[in-house]
Amino acid sequence: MFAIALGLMLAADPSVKLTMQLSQDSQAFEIIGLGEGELDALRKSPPADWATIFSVSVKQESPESLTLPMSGRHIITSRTLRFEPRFPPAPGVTYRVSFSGSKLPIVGEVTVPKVDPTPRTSVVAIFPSANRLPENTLRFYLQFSGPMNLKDIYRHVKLIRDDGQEVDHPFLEIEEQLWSADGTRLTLLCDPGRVKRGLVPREQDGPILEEGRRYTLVIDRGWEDAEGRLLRETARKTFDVGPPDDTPVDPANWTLQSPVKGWTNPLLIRLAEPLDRALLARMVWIEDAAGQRVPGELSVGGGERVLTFAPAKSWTAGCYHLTVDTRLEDLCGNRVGEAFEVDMFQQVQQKILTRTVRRAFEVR
Amino acid sequence: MKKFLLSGAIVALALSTAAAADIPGLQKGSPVIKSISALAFCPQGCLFIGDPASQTIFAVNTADSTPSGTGDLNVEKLDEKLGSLLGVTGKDVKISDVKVNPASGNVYIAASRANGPAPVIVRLGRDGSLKEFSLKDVAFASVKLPNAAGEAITNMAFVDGKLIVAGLSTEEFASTLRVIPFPFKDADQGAGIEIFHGAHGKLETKSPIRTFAPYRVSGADYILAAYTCTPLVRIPVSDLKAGAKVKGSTIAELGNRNRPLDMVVYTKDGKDYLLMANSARGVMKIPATGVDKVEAITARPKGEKAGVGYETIAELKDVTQLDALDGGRALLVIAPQGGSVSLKTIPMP
Repeated sequence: MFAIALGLMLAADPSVKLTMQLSQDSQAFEIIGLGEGELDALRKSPPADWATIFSVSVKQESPESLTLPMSGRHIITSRTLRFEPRFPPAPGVTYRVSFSGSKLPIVGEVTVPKVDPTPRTSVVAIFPSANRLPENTLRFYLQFSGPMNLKDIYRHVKLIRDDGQEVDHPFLEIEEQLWSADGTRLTLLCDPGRVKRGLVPREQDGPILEEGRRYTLVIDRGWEDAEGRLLRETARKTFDVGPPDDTPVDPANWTLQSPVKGWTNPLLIRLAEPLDRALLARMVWIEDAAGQRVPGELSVGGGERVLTFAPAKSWTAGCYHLTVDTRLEDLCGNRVGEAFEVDMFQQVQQKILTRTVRRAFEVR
Repeated sequence: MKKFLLSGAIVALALSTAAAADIPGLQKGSPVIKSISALAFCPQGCLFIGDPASQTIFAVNTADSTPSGTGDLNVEKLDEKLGSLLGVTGKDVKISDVKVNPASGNVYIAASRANGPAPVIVRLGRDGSLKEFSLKDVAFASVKLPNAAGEAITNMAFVDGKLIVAGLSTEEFASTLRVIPFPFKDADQGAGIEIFHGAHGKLETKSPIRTFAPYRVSGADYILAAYTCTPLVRIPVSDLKAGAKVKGSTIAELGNRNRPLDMVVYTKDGKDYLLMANSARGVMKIPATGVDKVEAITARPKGEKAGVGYETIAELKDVTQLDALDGGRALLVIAPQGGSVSLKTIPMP
């Protein structure tokens, strides 16, 4: 919780002041010290006039720029004329306020203090976490500790080869950006035109990653967070590149370590290879003998090679199924039962089906 | 005096009612929109808004269906003007989409602050005026996108009574095209369609659509879709059925340096073309009839009078948004790195 109240004398009459209040959940510019007569006259005038009488606008770089007033609403309270902007006054921005009540028009400026620039946000994880990745790795996830600034984001991310060469535009630069719902995880999608074989971009510019080489993914600290602070440090992930992976995901190759009845010890699942961090979290679950989902928590660890499922209640004896949505992908877009690149001579399914595969296990 | 004002008010009300098209399936209210990544219009002036943060598509009657002028639209320092409404300086403004309302010719711009998705919609009138388009007490409807957890809504278009919505998953490598009938029905939120494409005749892969444009040829509706890989394909809208896996026919193979951001289809001299904004190559013109070559326009059209101040299209780099102003003109948003953003009208090349 924080609040800033700035007083600014507006008129020759020192009792009339502009204050700006800025707190966690509300923001307002207020003219205080107006006489009852003046307030009454304002109440009687059409609300559309209030915006002309009391206008708040951003002081832009170009002085000649037509400044539109800030979006918001005007209210006359019992003692003040108040403007509540739709969006909070931004740190470091100067607002020009003009008030033309019954007195002569007054113009004033107020600058919102900048936030403490001490960096607070950092990249807390980069997935896949392995140090050796297949040549046709399709995607990276950057997990930040808080929301980031959304403008021109891709210039802050670089992929550098072991000889110092920067890989030219390795990631799809999508204006809409691929952020998680809470705005802290960014998906970097490797340009599929260069990951997939036989396409023009790959012929022109080559693959993004080459087997046998080493690369570093760099997220530079100049990328500001949502509050305008630099990152704590530049984040780096160095990895070696191995051969491409064209094998579909096969849960039949996973190792299950069954839990014991009466306890809440987790079911332990060892995967055959690292799989996609985000998809593991939502495409794997446990069903009981009746086909109902077992409540509990699925955790992903061990370099995205180990899953643990901790039940909410202790296990009862019986038959369970580890259930996997076939859309679960590995690092290269291969799904359950289906490789990323499908030979055309295979029958392509005519209809999309939501499918799962299941592995049975017993709790004794 | 009062009587006069009252009758004046009635006349004004009558005029505004006449200007508002009657769009079925909408109720009065004030929709809460958390973010905007795409806009689209129906011919009668209904504005569709894609809100990825709430995984919802909104339909709002703009009550703006009177033709409002035919002049060119050119606006300098658009970022500063939008910033004024948002309460920030121009450099902290992110423009999400720009679409022309075909019913009036006015332009609608979705923008937000660079540090958060809370949006504002601004109407740019043909007279150059900028005003916030308020979502308070409007006729609207909404539909939630099913199974759309973590999806960026990249593109929408209204075709033949249906809204086509392209989404790109933030997790799976998935292409979703949804065809949502309008007026929205509760039960029918649109069916997911998987798109495949062929590459040199051998391998087929799933491929997300990056951007698409609708067009009509010989009485049938198609979409031209640019994939995240490379091909530009044509897909008949009639193929876009619930649960289908669809393969489009390739009409162009775009090289890696072509990163299509936005496209429109137009007709010139009886032929169909695609006008594409490409961050690396400027604005490009591609025949929509299936030729593999992509040509960049470099020459000034013949017969141009001196002093008209026309820029060669190949020099129009940094075009981030593109829409058809009308059949003969395109509207571009130009956003150079570190420079100010402007809006410009050009003739269709």
